[in-house]
Amino acid sequence: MTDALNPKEMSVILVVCTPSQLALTSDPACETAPTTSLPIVTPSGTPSSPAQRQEPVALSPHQALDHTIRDILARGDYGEVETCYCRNGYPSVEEAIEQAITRGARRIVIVPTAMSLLQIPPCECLAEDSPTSLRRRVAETQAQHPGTNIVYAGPPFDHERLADLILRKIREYEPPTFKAGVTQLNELQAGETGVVRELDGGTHFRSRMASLGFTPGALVKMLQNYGHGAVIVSLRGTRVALGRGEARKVGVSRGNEHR
Amino acid sequence: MSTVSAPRVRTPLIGGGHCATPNDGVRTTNAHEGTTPSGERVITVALAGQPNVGKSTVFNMLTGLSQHVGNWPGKTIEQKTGTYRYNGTSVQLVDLPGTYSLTANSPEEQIARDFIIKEHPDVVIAIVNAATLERSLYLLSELVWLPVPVVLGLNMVDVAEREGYRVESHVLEAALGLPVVPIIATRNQGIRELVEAVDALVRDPLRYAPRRPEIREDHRAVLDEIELLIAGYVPSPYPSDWVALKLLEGDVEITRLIQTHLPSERWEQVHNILRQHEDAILAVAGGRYEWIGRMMRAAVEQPRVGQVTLTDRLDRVATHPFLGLLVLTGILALVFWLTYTIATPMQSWLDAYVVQGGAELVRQMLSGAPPWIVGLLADGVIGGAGTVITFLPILVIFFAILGLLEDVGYMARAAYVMDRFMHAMGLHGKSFLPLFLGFGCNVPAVAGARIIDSPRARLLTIQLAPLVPCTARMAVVAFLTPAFFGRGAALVAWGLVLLNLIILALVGIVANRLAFRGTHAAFIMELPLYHIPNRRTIGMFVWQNTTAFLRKAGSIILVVSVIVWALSAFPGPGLENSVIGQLGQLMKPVGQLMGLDWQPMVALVTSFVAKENAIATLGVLYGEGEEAAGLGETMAASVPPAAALAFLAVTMLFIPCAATLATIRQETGGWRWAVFNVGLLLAISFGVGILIYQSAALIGWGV
Repeated sequence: MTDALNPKEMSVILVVCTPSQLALTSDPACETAPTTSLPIVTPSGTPSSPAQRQEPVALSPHQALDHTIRDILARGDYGEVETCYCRNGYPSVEEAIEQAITRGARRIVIVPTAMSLLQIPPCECLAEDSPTSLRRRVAETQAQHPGTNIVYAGPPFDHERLADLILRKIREYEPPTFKAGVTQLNELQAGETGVVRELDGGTHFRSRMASLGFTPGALVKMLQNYGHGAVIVSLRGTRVALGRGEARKVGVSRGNEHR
Repeated sequence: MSTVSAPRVRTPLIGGGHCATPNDGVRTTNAHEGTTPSGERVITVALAGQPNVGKSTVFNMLTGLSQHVGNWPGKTIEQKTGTYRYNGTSVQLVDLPGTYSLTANSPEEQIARDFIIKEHPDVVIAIVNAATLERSLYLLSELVWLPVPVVLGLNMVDVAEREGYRVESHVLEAALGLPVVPIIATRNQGIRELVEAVDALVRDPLRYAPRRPEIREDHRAVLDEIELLIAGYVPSPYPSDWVALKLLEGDVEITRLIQTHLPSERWEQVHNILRQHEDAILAVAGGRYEWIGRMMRAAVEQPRVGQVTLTDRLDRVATHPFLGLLVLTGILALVFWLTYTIATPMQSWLDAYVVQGGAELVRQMLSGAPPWIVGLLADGVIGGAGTVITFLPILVIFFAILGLLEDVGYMARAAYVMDRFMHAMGLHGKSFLPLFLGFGCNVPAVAGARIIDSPRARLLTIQLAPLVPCTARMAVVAFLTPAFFGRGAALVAWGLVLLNLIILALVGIVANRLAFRGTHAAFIMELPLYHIPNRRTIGMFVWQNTTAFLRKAGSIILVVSVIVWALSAFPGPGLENSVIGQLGQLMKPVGQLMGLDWQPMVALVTSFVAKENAIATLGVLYGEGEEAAGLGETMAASVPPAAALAFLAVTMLFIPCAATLATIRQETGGWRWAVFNVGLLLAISFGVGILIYQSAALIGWGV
């Protein structure tokens, strides 16, 4: 069993592909200018404020990286987040790992900031057969430091996760779509009954609704629905008031037949 | 590399078959168990239950006034503890927050389960509402998975029978495999049996053999797989089967816990399984409800279909979009009318005999002492204490009526009716409840914002609460308007209240647009059945809210009152030559924009102690003494109506009083939002005051 590590002994290293990626322009000349400094955030860094978070488009790559680091630190699981370059910059991956070990890290996770192989321009360090392959280099460094647990976590998204993420983002902007024959709860008229079939929305919402009894198969009766504003339904022997937005995320089939 | 030990062998389950009946999880000894010096046994019992099951009534019945109200460590969530004695045992009863489930959807749920898992009470009493049994058994279906024996208190059997449900408690007991005690907490029935059942279980814990809801077949294999992967890595004292289930449910807190304790390769495997079963929460919750359904079919006689209950009939009016508003307005008017008709005479009696009498007594007793000591005690200390004392009748009566409405079940309807109006401010109906408390006193309003789930909506509600005109400000308005506006006084007073509410709405809407960008929190709220109110529950509501006011506001008002007295007495002589007088002079330029001289500005400064202090200060400054009987007339002679209107508006909108400010600081965890509120209200109040006077000047009215 692993000893429970203190967050202070756990370090994340974010790998930026090349210095040119942090520059504001995509000028290829930047490739030869390894002076672009990496953002430095100490563990006392505060998370970026919600207001800053609102406009991801307005951030320069440099700022975006800076906010990401602050957010990871703010979660508190890892005491240290460092940055390094895969190619053409200081520190390199190997140098960053050495530095983290000297600072007392006992577990180091290396994560490329190139989100996936789909990224444009692609980062060759992600490819296994590349001479700069991150996975291979991390494995080699691990061999030199048996006392420290060094892990290569791979790009944050493979194509599958990227698809999940894109779909999740799209869903935020679309009315929930349910299977054929399943309507939104807010479409039931007062007095009508239905059977809960699906729940849309985030994990938190679905978990709350499920504990209140909105699970597939539950019989629900619309008590009050004036076509606008919150509705009142009765299910499992209780009355629940739901905002219209919340009612929309509950998919029901009309009638009271249990499947 | 990390050293990985062999997976721990899973504890075999005793029993088996369809329903597992393990009792391996129940410990027979306990860290809490001990004896007092007198040889009395001491045990800890936790009281759990969903909202609206009458849990606090049971708690009050069990502990009486031996209660301690505090906060859960590190949280702004109320923790109530109390004790009772039975059969040579002293029982420490801990009231867990009311929660629908034990998944960490809210801080309350996290507190409830952390307490059971980490503090390991000897017994958990789970209270369920017999009238809403299906839903309220859900919490029990989670509790039986934790390694602490449970006694079930089947509350409100009377309400259930009126609604047409008959619960056979002995059948339920056999089906659940744990003690079930029918109770009517409001009539103190069954409480003794509940205590006996707890005692019996503590003395013989091996008797406890609950039947637990089994996991549906399709998820059983997944659950086993996860449990095998995490075996040996689950930090104590978490039970590993429970942790596996919570992972499958997508519990954020447990997921993070396991992620930090698992080697990354293993976590990757667990994570992949979880990703393939993202919908498991519905299956798990559905499985629990199926289990509940079986219990219900065995033990409960359901009402006839189509029976129209009392709640149905009342709700046709109370939740109607138009009629509901009328009912709410009527109830609000009645609340105020009752509060002021009953409380005002009591207030003036207290002021005349207790406060003035006390001050007079002090002056006589200390006739030989230096004047500043007499002043400090008679004006500073007794003046401050008097403010608190004369305030009590209003608070007690307001809280009593509110407690009644809450206990009957009406307040949830009020929140529902107000929901669409609150939406414009990015809030929802629940925020109406603490804001409504603000009409009594802003202190409980700020503290009451705790019921709101979303942190942003809670912060906004706290920022808006001081804009609700409290009874103290209404007292100032009621005193001054007749002198200035004669027959139109009532109209002006209501206009001022309306002005406050309009500004509250505007601030809310602007804040929502600017800071929150129109996001809204989910509105999910249970509407409890109406039931007959209980004197004791209302009494405890009044007692707890009033003592909370005395504890928080009382001491602050006293201290600030002494400080303000000192600032108004030195260097002297007279108020106009004191520090506060100087401050008033300093604010004169702002005052002039509102047509006000320095005296009203000083009154505003002293109203920071407590709003109604404005009257006493004006009384001193206009030379009419503290009784201020002729104050209105004297002021009317020197202050033009437009300036008076501006002054009243500023008083209504001015910065929160010291006690409210201290509560804002406490509830938001720092001075930042308290200072922000002061700045905001300072700008709004002076802005509105200047606008009123300047517009009046422009049209040539009352200057």
